[in-house]
Amino acid sequence: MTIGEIIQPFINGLLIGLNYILVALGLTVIFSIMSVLNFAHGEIYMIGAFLVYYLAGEYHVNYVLALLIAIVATGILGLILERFLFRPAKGDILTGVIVATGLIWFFQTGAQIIFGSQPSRIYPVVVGTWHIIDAVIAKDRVAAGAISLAFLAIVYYFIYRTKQGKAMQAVAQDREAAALQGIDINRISPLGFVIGCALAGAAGGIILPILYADPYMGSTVLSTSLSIIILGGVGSIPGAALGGLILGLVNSYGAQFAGYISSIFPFVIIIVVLLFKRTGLMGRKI
Amino acid sequence: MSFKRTFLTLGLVFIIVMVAFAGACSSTTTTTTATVTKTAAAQTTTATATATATTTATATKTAAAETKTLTIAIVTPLTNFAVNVSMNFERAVIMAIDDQNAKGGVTIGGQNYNLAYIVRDDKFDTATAKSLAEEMVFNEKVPVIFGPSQNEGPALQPTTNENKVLMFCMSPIPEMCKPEYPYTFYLGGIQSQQYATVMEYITKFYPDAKKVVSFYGDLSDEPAQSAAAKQMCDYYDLEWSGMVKFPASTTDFAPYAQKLMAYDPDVIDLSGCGGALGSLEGTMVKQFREAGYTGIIDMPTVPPPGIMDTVPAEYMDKIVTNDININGSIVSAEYKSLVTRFQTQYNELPIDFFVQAYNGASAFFEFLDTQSTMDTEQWMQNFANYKWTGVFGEDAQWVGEPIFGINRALMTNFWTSEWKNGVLDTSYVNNLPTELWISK
Repeated sequence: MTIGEIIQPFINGLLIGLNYILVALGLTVIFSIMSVLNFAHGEIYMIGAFLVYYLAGEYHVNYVLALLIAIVATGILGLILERFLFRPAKGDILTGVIVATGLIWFFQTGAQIIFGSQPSRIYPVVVGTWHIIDAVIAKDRVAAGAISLAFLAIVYYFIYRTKQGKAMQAVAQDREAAALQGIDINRISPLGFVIGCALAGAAGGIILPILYADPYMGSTVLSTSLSIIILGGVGSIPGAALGGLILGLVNSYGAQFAGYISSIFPFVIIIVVLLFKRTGLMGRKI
Repeated sequence: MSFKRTFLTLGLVFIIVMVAFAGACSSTTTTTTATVTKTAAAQTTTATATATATTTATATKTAAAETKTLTIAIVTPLTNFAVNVSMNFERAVIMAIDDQNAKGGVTIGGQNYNLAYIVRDDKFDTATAKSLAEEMVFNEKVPVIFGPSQNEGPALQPTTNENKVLMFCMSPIPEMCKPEYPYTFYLGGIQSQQYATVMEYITKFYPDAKKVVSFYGDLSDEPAQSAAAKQMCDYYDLEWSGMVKFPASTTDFAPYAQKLMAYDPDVIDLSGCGGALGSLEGTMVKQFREAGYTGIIDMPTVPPPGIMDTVPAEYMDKIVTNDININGSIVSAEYKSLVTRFQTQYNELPIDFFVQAYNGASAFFEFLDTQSTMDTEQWMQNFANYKWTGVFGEDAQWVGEPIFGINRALMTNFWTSEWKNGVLDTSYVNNLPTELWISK
């Protein structure tokens, strides 16, 4: 075994893990604030990817501008979903699940009608590779990782350093107590949804040049995101980050060294973690 | 108040963005919607799409006192996984039906029939496929089912076979290709033919290439694909090192690139990555090259049009494929005409399944026009011996007996292409070892 065989999956896993974190973070933000498990979160990711595909791939809008438009659009979509679909279902888990499931069907079918069923790719934004020791690292993965990291830093700053972010944390910890402290829940909930959906849209747009967009891509992403937040701890932002990195690395090393069978590794790890710590790695009791 | 203002402002921005986006996407939206409408219409009626052609048909079929309707079923995934592939399949059958109706339909035993069709979506689900087979056979009483284009075939086959209903699938799955299932035909060519097409080319133009490793999705045709790869490597004196298998839901192939390269291959074989996985071949090629692999990549199964255009030109060397450039010097006029018609009708290029499916479907409808009985057992026996010149410009051949014990698989094309300087060069006609697949 060469050093490259150790380094390469590490870097690949780390870079793809950052993208996982963006999606899972969005899901966990929405859950912690609204107590809604948005099963249509993967479809927001898909919409972000397709928006960037059409803007950058078909109409040659600058990729960064296309990404920003996709983030704004998915954020606003989140606002609309929260106001008209999820807020009326607040407090009723079953209704929330039904709404989210309906949205999955709506968005998948809509995407198939509008965008077609074929996976869509754009020409890579950055082409080429770097050779580091024995490893070959694709520049577009590094670029995607850097953009993901930048977004994570912005979200981290917002949540932990701004008044609105601290209000979000308070609502996540105890909704009633936060309301008693004068925090307007009806402002924080849409804010959480906007951030959560914008993160999913950003992740879809960021991953597009490396992978592709297709109407059903959200299902795989939702499964990965749920695994991450269960592993990291439901509602925990640092847990989502840790879970995303672990899953990225497990998938990368697993595929390289164990191949096909490695697809069960994340679930084995989750089961093992939950056996010893039922709240996940960094979760708290709900 | 400020929140309301923010909400209204953001809502306004969203509407503006969406309106701008919808305007930008309008051409695509129109095309796609048209397709769906056609499909939906087909689901609820027995093909009224052929009404125009029928007028001419009636005039030419003077012998027939009254034109009756012969309904054909198309059962294939039109939602869920592999929908793009299946939509090409569906369009091929419908185009073949329309073409036959334009020629006057079919006359069987002196009775003229106008062909009609019912389309059903099996959702890539075996239970749905089974119930649709029962609906088509027992309720609609169709004599022929086209589909599925994917791997749900085993779910339909017992019903169709027991009731002597002809079935036309794409890929020959070994568990289906048995002498006890004579009513099923396969239009997509056998796996070993696909493989031989690229292997002969590689041995001729890359004589130093010896070691082959295959990359397969975990679909049900994987055993047939890997068996074909091994068989043809043996035949061409190449060393098949084995395969790397990936879950069909995989989106990132970079980790698997490392595992493939651990074999130190001269050729990475993507023969098991066609059909529903074909759209991912562009991603695979890019990621294998980014991982440092510079050897030959063979793609016997063809990616959808446009997919390879997104792969940087510097990654496109040494890619040998069954994909076809219609401007290639060896491409038949029939093939060019068919692809051009598809492009005109649907405003996009077809995938290879379309041509393969049309090749068999159009021949079957022409064949029906030569029959004197409605007995499907006779149709089954006669069509297996029917001769015609295919879309690929060669005499069509049914093969498979040495492999499956029954000749029901249709040979496809003998052409091999390679990407050269960013252009797909289709200029090589193979001398395929057909003796391997046809009993003497």
